Amino acid sequence: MRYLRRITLLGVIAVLACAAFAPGAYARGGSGGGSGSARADIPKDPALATPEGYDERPVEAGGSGDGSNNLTFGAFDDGDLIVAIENFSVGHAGVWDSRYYSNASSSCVWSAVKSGAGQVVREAPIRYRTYDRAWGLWVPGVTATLRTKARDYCAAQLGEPYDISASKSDESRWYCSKLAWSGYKQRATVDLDANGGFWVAPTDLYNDNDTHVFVAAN
Amino acid sequence: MGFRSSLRCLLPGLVLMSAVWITGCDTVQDPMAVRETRVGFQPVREPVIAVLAMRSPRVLLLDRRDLHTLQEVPLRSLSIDMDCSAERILTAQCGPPAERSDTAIGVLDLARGTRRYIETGHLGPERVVDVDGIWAFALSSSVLDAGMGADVLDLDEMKATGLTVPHGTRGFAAIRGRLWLAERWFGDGNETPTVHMYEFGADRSVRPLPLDARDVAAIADTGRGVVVVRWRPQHPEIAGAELYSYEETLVRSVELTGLAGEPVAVVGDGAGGFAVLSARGEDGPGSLVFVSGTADAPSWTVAHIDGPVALASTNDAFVVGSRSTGEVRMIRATDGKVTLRRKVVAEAGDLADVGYCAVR
Repeated sequence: MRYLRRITLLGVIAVLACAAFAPGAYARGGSGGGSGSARADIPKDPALATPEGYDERPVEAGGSGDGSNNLTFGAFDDGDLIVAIENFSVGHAGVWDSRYYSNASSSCVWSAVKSGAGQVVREAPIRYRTYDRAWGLWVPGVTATLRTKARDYCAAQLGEPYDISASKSDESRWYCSKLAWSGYKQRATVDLDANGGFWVAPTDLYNDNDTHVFVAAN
Repeated sequence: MGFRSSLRCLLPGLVLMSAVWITGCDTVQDPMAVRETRVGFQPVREPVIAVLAMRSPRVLLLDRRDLHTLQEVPLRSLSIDMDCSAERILTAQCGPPAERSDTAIGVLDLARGTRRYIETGHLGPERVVDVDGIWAFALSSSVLDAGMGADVLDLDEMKATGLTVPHGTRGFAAIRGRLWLAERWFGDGNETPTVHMYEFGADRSVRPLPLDARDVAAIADTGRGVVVVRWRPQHPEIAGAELYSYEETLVRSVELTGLAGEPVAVVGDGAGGFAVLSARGEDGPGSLVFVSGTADAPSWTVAHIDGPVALASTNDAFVVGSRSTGEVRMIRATDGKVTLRRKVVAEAGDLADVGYCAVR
């Protein structure tokens, strides 16, 4: 019995040691997002709740971007969603890739943008500070491995064009929030569109019950 | 000539003047019209410190003797990076991240006091580097099948030539008319990056550099060679710098003690020395470490710099910009003494970059 206890104790110590010193345990000031227990859970703003039956085309996924916020990026991890809005239907969204992050100006957010020849981009998160409000969202019901796969799905769409009218089932044309939505739909079988329908707007990602807010600005 | 005939002569003139006055008022009251007419700024006759601000995108030109703002030059869209030389300031006009992503590089000619834009072929240019005043290079956020969207800029012709560079291209530095670039690319879901360093020329020629490309955090020309700063997040205690000759031969290695965290930027002092700016986390505490041209250890360290994000060299001093406080510091190169310190932007988060324009 005593021998069994010692083995169990050693096993627990070994597991804790592995968790503490594994290369993946290092996170740049963030929680790592893997366990989820250390992450803040900020209540969502009910004023942004999607009205019943609302499914309008996002306003070219963007808006003027002439606001400002002080969203911080230290707690972001692979597969997290970054969402910024100016008003209810105008905003932007992307998927975090921590492999490319070193500071706010590092190009580490996968998204799709339109301006001239629109396409999939890997952009700097500091640019999301040009909206009135911004959030970091994560999907705690999905494992870290699947969140990473959702990230990889977005990254694999490089070179593909922007199209605000692309349907959800079209995996060759993108707009910002559809790219993020598809990553989770295709790789984690989770539907992050709060109200369903043809369009998936940045606010749909924010309002979906599967997403939780871990960092907010304004 | 009677009163009526005088009035008859003057009436058309009065009507015309009224029309001009009314039109003039309309022009002044229309903010768009004001924006369109403010295309220039006061020519610059002596060296200035430049500060790039994100909100109400603009470049502030500061007196280097006291860091007072001499003038502000508005930009047409958001910019998060600039590069300064004796003649001009280049700004990467990425714009907001979505529909209004911009595609231009701003060119502020300091002697003439003009602001012009070079249209690139790519969305969201986020980085720009002036390669010794001869040409320039801009890197965008566009990710194409063939690589990242980039442009070679002809500063005389004010033209951009689009091309693609390796997908993970990030840090780069102008070295004697060419660029040294580091690539770190995670293709196809790999967690282990492909890394390499290469040299890139205005003629679009690419040549691999015989340097270990792992852990490269920043590169700079020291004036006598090239410094490559290395940093590993898993082992921040063993940060180091390697000094290479222009012929790519390793000259010496320096252990970098005193870093607060990840290197943010490195600049040379023109005499073989260099300074490394580091910060712990986003807008966290930082430090500036200086290594002189012949030393194999840091000569001095300035600790406790709040939220440092940008660094420039005036050769006899270093300029540090802090995003979280909106402050600019001038730090003397000989001993690391902070000689000037001023809050130049009111809002936290506004300051994006600093530079030095050695106007002659």
